[in-house]
Amino acid sequence: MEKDVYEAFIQAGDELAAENNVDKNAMEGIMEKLIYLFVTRI
Amino acid sequence: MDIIKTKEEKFKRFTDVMTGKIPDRVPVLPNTETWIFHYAGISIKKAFAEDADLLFEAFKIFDKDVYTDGVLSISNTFPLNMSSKLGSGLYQVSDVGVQIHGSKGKNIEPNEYRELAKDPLKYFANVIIPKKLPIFKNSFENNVQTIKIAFQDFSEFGRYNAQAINRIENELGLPILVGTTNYISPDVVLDYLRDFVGISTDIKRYPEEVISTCEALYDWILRMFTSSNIPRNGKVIFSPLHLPTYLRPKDFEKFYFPFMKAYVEKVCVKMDYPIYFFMENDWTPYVDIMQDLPDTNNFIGLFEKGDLKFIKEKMKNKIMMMGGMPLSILSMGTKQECIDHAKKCLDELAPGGGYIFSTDKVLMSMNDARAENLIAVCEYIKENGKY
Repeated sequence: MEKDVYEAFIQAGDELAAENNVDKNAMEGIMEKLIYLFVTRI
Repeated sequence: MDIIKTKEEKFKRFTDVMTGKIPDRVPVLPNTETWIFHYAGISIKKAFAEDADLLFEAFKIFDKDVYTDGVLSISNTFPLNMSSKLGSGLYQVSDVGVQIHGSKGKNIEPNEYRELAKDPLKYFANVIIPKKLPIFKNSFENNVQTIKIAFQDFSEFGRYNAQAINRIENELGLPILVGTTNYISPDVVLDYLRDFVGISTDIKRYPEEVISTCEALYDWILRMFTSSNIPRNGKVIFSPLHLPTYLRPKDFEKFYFPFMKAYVEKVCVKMDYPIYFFMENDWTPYVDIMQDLPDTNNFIGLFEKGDLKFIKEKMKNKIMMMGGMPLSILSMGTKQECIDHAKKCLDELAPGGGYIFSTDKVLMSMNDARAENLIAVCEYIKENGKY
């Protein structure tokens, strides 16, 4: 079964954390805000 | 005069108001938004998305002619480059302004409230985002890449704005007052989930669903906010309040005020962040209900309409007053009529402190105020607003 959009945000956050050498949990929090922003800022 | 000292003196006028002190004079803070770019003759589209130096230039031209103690924000609120790559969003920018697509604020139906309330985060991600942005009806791998590109664009948007803000504050000595923006949850339902007709109907037909959804959204939004590292730099947290004055007072008391009160208690009183509410329309019918707000100086409201002297007196020790200068007079009146009204603002609203001079509405286009009128009232308050 194809993973959902939420899981895509988590995966993107993990990859960005690794690529930018930042904390994975912090990036997860940023992804959560990005989800909110996709609905309320664009 | 030293630029940094100028900035600090101007900023202190606001922090004095919001800490219960009487400043040296009434702070001057017209809500000039995109009017600044029209006045400067600079394309909003280019200033917002192409060249941060152009954004700075607009404020430089404005600041040279119009006296203010600060500006609320640089007005570049929406990450336009990010949204253009994601597909057509709610907002569109042109050379003359940012427009809202009227039909794009409705993203759920009433039968979705219960599922949304169970887990707003996953409902936003898995249901609303693909519905709003069809680019996400794609493979998992493509979605991951889309999100990573969006993150880079959003980071660049933050850097772009930070560069402009830094120059405006440190080269012009003009403080930017709003630090960040946050929403009260019923306004999220109105603006981004159900639109005006939807929420107006839902309050009558599905009251429990509306409230439980607002509660779930409130908890989620506040958790995100409190886990963020919001700088303690005295800048205000801005919330535009859209829904309240479209509600009857008894509906306001039931559907909106509990969230507003909880927000003020948590963010403003317990966490000690200053907040700024744009209180659209006439709040006179709600002042009795709002007596239940906590006492604080840390909360400023821009009141658009109503008897502001009456509201200020009634909301004493609860909300600091901002506003008073109608755009209708600034755009259509003579210079003397504008000065006469500015004098009335000082006479009625300045005594005792707790007042910031501002316009009643946001100035979006050049027609919203004659330049000579705006310049005249700002200068008048600067010269005559001393305590």
